[in-house]
Amino acid sequence: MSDAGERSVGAIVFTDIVGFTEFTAAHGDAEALALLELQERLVRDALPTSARIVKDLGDGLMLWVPTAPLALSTCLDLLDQFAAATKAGTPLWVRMGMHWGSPSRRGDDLVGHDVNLASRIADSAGPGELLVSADAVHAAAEGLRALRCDELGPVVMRGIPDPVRLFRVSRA
Amino acid sequence: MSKPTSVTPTGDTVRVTTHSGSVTVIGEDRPDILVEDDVDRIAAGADEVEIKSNSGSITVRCPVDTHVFAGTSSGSVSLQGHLGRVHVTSASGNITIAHVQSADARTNSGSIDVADCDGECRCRTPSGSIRIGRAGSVDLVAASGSVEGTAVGAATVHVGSGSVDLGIIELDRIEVDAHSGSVSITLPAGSHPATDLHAGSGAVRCDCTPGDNGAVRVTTGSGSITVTER
Repeated sequence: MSDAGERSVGAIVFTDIVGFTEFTAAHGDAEALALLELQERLVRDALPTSARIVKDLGDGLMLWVPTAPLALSTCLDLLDQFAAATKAGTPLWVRMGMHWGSPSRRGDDLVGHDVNLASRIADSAGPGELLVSADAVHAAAEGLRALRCDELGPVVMRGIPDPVRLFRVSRA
Repeated sequence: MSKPTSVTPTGDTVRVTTHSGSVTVIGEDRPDILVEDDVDRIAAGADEVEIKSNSGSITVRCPVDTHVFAGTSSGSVSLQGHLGRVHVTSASGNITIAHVQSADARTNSGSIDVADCDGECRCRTPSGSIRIGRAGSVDLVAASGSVEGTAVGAATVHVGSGSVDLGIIELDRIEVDAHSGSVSITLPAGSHPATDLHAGSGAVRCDCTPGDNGAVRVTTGSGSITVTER
């Protein structure tokens, strides 16, 4: 059954392991696989029941979370866990990007401009960072009260027509 | 030939973006903001001036210590003179920064060069090197490329593949993680830091007497680690 045209309003989140190619070259496939499995396990354990992993992207994951405050708190909790894993000796250098929008459904997948934008936002982040769009900030509203939100400015991204105001969100 | 446009600053911030082309912002002793190139939009808001072009390079001259947001999709960004807090992004291009109060510089393909940063200096590039002259503190990520800091304070560095060379001017907390590449850190004379140095394959050498004056933690998958004093 086709559900083309249906939309899923929510937060689209991308995770990405920074330097995964270099890690694999230095440590081999077995350790690289273990790194991916650790990322996925931590994400699965942390995701609220209303959220889901949309798809596996190789060294990253695409997530969907129904509300922006829930997405922010989930992302920051995950970054804490990635940092703890890194401190314990497994270099899980994960960056995250988040956008609030209404992507189109294609089976279990989500597609469209909002998805592409969220992916590009993650590309601008560094390990341990969560970058979010202005739309995500507005959607989060109260959820940002206890958090620090620093503007990075209008970011021009390849393939995205207009500059996007990005914010770096961290614990206050 | 383009005609320069002078704008009266409405605050202490300028936003400069272009889709394809370089961005140059110069902080100098002047009262106005001078846009040297033809652009598509100049808007003076309540507390900032926005300068935008869909294509083409932009050169802007503004008062010393102006805060800057600058971005381009394809082109380099050069911040010259003396500027305030700066946030710079390029999808594909090098970033060069002269003297600023603080910096956040990100490029998806290119090198980043910051000569002098009074406060925190945060740089990200997946493909290219990072070079810092002087900075109060640094947070640097180069997935594939080397990192060099001549005179920096507290430092957090992530490198996928490339060497790291840091000169520390005031010992605080130094953390370097590299998947592969050698790491060299020079501390101020008489430093007695807590050290935690791990090289998967490579020699580890530390000339400092251990203590609790600051902390140096270094991990590299393959490559040597050298910690020395000036």
